[in-house]
Amino acid sequence: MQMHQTVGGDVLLDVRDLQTHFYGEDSVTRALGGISFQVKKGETLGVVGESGCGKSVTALSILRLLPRLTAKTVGGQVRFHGRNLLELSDREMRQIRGDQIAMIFQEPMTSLNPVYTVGHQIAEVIQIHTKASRSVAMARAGEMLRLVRIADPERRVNNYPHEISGGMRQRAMIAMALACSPELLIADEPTTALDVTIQAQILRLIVDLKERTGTAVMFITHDLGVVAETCQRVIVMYAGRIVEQATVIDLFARPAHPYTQGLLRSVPDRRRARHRRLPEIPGIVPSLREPITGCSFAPRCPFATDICREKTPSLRDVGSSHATACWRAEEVMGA
Amino acid sequence: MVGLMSAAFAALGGLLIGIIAGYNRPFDNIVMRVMDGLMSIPTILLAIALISLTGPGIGILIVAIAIPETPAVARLVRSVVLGVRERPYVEAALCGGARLPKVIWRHILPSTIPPLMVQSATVCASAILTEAGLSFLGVGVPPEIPSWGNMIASSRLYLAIAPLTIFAPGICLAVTVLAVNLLGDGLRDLFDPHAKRRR
Amino acid sequence: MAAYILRRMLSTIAVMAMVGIFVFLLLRLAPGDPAAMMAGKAATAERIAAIREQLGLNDPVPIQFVRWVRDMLGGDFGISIFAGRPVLELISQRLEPTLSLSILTMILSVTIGVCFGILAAWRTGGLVDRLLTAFSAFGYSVPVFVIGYFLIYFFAIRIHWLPVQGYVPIDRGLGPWFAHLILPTVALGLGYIAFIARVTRASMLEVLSEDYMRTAAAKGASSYAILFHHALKNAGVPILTVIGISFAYLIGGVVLTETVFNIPGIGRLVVDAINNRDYPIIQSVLILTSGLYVLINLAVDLSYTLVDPRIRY
Repeated sequence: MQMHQTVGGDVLLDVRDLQTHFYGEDSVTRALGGISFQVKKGETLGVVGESGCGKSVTALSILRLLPRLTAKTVGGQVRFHGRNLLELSDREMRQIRGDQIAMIFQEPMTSLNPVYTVGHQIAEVIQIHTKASRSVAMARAGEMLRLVRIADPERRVNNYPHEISGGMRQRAMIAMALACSPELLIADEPTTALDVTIQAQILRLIVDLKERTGTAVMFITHDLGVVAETCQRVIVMYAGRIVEQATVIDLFARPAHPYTQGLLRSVPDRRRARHRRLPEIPGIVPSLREPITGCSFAPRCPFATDICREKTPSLRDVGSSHATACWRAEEVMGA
Repeated sequence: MVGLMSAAFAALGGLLIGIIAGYNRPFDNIVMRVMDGLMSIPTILLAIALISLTGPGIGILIVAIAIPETPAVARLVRSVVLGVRERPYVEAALCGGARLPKVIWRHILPSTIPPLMVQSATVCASAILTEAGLSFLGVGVPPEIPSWGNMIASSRLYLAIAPLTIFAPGICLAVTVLAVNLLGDGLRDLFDPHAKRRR
Repeated sequence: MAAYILRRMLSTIAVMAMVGIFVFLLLRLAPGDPAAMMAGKAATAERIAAIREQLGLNDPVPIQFVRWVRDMLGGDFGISIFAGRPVLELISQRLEPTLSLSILTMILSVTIGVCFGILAAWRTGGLVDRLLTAFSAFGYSVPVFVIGYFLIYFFAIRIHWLPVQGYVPIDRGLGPWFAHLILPTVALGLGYIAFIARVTRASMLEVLSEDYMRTAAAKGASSYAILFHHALKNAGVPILTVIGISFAYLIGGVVLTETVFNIPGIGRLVVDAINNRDYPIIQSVLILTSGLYVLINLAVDLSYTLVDPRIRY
């Protein structure tokens, strides 16, 4: 199962067999069915998949920010600098959040506290993790706003979130996340809620800042175009599992999982004739409430055979640093 | 029971005022100001004022308790009516040529009933407490009619000797109000499944 | 902002006018002869006539109203029928105990209620939450005066920790003043605490499910900072609103509490006035409390801007 992992000294985050369940009134949803992956120092890892495939749950599980009453990480390890985050006390965990691992969220509109100024909220994270005084932290907040290229930062620090635009709010979120120079930045669909032109600017900003600070980034998105622009490696998730893991180039050139193939085909392509319908993946995502026998993608898969319906495939290497969870990967790659 | 009667009066009065206010702008403005005014006077003081002018009696007591409770009901009904009257099915009924009173009776009234019933339970609990308070102060039901409130009032001199004479009616009172309150909670859960999960 | 305050002032005046008209008409429209009512059953015809004259009931109603309003605006709330002294003087004599009791209750209940509500919302379904559910059912259902006698019986009669009844003015020592106020404050405050805690809990639960609470947690903020710094300020508007609205409820309770604990405040004044059929006193207390209520709620409305920067008038 873990043969794809080339263990090197430069591994920053090592997630092993992470399992998270959601508890409903009388049902259990296996949101993460045991996923393993690594983030190396300074790299950008893309996490792709449809809504509900467990991308965000992965991020929240790593930071232990799941809703307390309804969700629980029931198994696996999250090793960060060799320490298993799942075993830390709440206090130790708080010291890591925002300082060594920071996160930006999908909704810049609602992710900033409406009753405090932008500067105050950036300064807060600095004050939590350093002994900086209020005025030093505020000055640093201003610098951070300049770093994320907000015009007129001296004025903006004193603005409330409702007084600035969505793009600016997301910049402020990024400033807040980077304020303590984290080693890992988890970006959960940071551009989804923004206008297309703003999206490109924010992406550019994240890539630039990553290069300047050397922060590793875990980039969660459903947009393969975004992945192509920003990431070095990609993991593709489906129904709470990782179905493929590859470098961006390999993934686009030789997708080894039929689901990845389907995703790639449904990306609009300018070269394709306009009147042709975009191919879509038939069928629906399986319910995670019942245990799934066989490959969870089998019901929608054009390559599915009896073995796919009976035995769950695990990740196996199909090339150098290219792994997939498909029984018929060779046929898929040849197709 | 005085509390029950008062609650019924307050609910009916509030329903009527609320519906009319929801449909008639000028009336709305005037009546809601009056309601604001009524709400600004503590229930017990208002009831005291009413009773002190007319003298004690069961009838006046019911009215005196019902009047201060009415504004809350009227406000609630009004807000429901304002919400419902914009709904497509109400507009559709009006466009279809139905007359306004009929539309109110058929479409608007039914949607005010669930919140009204929940509110009535609250009003009822509060009316029982007000009645007890008034009787305790000696302005409620006439002393010759026993009520938990004036039982407590008449035995308060004997607190040190016979505390049960105060606590027994007190506990009865509390249990009754608790029962009515729980009934209200139950009704709310019944009508509004969302509230159940939130609570 | 200024325009808003002006508009609010106007509506405040409108509400007060309604209360004024209502109270005025109450006396005039009451069945029977109010003067005879007030004089009592054994009164002579001269006495009734004197009261009629004193209240100005012999003049036409509109003239009565104009004179009534003019007097009140000039601070003349009439003469007590029973004591024969200006009502305002009687009320101001009784002000201190009532203010002590209500302000102390207000401070105590708001502090405890808000903390209670926050803790219940923090761990929904937890011990504090279930405790609050039970406590608020209790607080809503047990009348103030029953709680009052219960407290007196246990804490004053049985174990002699606290004085039974009465009131000691604050200038005769803070200690005795406070000792006499503890039981009344608790009796009056229990229901109030339950009410504020419930509202706080509901409001906090709504805020805690917002995205920015997750952001705060992702920053590494402590539970305390998340609850009291990030959540409470956002949950503040509904809490402030009910604090304002429940003022009327508080005053209603004050009347009963003062009777139970024999505190010579405005509540006692009103109760005595009922027994003496002293309508000018009742009428004035009615108007003053409703005025105070309206002012408090105006202040609450204006304080929203301090809590939530999105609210601009």
